[in-house]
Amino acid sequence: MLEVQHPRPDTVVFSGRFDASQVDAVRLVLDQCAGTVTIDFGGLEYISSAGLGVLVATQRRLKEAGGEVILRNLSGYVRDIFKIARFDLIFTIQ
Amino acid sequence: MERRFPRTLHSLQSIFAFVDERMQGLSLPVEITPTLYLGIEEVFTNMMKYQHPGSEEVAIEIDIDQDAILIRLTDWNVGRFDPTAAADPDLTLPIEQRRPGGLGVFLTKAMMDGLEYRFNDGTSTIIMKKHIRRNNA
Repeated sequence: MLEVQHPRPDTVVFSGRFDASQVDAVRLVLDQCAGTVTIDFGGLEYISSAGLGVLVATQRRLKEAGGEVILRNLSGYVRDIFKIARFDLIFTIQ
Repeated sequence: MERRFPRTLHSLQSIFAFVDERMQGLSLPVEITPTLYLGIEEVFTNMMKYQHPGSEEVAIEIDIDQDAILIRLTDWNVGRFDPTAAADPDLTLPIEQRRPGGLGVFLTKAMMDGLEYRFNDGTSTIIMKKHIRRNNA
């Protein structure tokens, strides 16, 4: 399962597994974000292409408004997936 | 070992639990399990979206031997649809020009060591292979 925390307006924290069944719940949270938002992936064990699609849609929306998504604390499998998908070209990764 | 799952997104948690069950007790690198989740989720959701009308359930078989994990997903009562033949997405495009679709199969091809499609008399089967290097090897 996926746990999504939104402790501050500019910070979202993911932990667990972000699969296709979690897309609607995550979209509800990210749609509330404006400006520049940092997503902390420190506890994220898994993401699929469905999850990546939500992140791309959020990045596109925020960039159009002058903000962006910053991704933080990618490790292991998640880091490999972002590298293969060349998401380093479209996200700031810290 | 084979198990059958209703063709709905709600099955994903049960499918991951099945993977966890099969991985239990094996001394394998931690990246193996999410890689198996990925391959199975991408193929399973592709079957849900593109293989019609499809059976009520999709069969998933996970076999493990000394050197590799073999995963087989089988769907019945479907037309031919080969996801492995899809063109790779252009990942160098800027975000404004990126289009959805194709990324899941691309990632699966990249993370797995084999991806094969078979179609016979209305039965569609995807076979994936992942080589394993045991932690205690």
